[in-house]
Amino acid sequence: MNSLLRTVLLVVLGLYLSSCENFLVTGCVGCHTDKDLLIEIADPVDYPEGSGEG
Amino acid sequence: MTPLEPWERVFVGEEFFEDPNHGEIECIVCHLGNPQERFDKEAAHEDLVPYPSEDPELFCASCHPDEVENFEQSLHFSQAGYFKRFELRAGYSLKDPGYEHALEEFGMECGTCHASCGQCHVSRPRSVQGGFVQGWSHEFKGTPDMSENCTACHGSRVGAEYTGENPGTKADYHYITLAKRCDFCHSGYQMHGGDGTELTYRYDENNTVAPQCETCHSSVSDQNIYHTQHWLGNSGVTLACQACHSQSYKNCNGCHVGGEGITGSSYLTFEIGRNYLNDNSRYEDYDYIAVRHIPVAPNTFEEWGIDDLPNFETSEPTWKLTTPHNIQRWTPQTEVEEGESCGAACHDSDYYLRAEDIELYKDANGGLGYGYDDLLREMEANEEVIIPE
Repeated sequence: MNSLLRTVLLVVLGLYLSSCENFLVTGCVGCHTDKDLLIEIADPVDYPEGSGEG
Repeated sequence: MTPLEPWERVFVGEEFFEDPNHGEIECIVCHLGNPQERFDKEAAHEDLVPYPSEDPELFCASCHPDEVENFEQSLHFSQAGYFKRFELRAGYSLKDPGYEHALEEFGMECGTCHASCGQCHVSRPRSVQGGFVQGWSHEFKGTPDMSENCTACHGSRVGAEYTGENPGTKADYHYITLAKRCDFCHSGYQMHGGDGTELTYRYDENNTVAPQCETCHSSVSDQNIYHTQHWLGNSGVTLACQACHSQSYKNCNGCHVGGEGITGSSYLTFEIGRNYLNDNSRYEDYDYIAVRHIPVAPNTFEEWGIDDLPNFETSEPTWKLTTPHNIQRWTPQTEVEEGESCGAACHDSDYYLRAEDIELYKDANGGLGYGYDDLLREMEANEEVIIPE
């Protein structure tokens, strides 16, 4: 029992630390590589209007 | 050009991380911001630098010193051509004290056609609302994409000419889909500012920097009577290559700042004018050149509080040297019926820019205060270009 619990706790802790590590190293990447998230939250920013008139 | 969806503008694809150079650099090194603000989008993007290469010395030069060395002299970056033409026509500079408001407006309008490193090598230009080139997803590409980078800005005239989109014209002889793209003639050396000479006009680039027809075609200078007469000058008159080998091209009138943009209809025409460039190393040897109307009017900058361009009629023509990108070996100027003189199609034709043409095309300048006085001023501005009867 103790062994199983310890294993579960270690796995959870490992996942948590892994998550933290990924975020700390690549905080921007977490959002900017998630297409579904971006589709949900990205909004037009203040890019000027324009077109190729040259 | 259809703008990208908002998410497409910021989606970073996995290919980016396979780049052993840029893919190894943390985002914040170039873009700053606050990535530790994990759950607050606004806070995470505070102090973000969306276009790091606007400051190429700071963000690009440490790895790309040769490319950056002269880039700030590139007209793509400096926009010195805009500033110089304004200065010549107005008699003062937009950068002079007292014109801060106009300079700010310039930055929001004309200034959006300004290219940094990233707008050619990473994203679409800001003039078409930016976003990553489709399929690149923040990848860095050495050669820009012709349609999403080059003709995103140079689309209405150059792009349409080159691919034959204008009615009644063929694609440029040099255009081969997926093969001969802009970089076939326009080298990275040219795009990166060439030899570093400070320029205020694109045609001032010397022939070691800019492409020249003669570079590839000099061996045919005496191939036929057209060439011996008008290229080598045996007739006593020399023509720029485009005078014979260009098809009709798009001309625009009446560009007005303040949101109106091009106010007259564009029109396809082909005009040959006298060469007014007397001290230009690439073009001074030609007596006649193809000319295109530049969309400027005396009141172009009225919305910025600049009601007139005092030197409009004494500084620069409005029909100016052009090098259309719709070259063909046989054009309406060069094709003649069997048995006709070689000059039958061109001599005594209406290809030559006459004084009445200035009036003919003025209608496209219509509205927004372009009047008879403006017409007279425009005729005077083009005195050196107009070919007398």
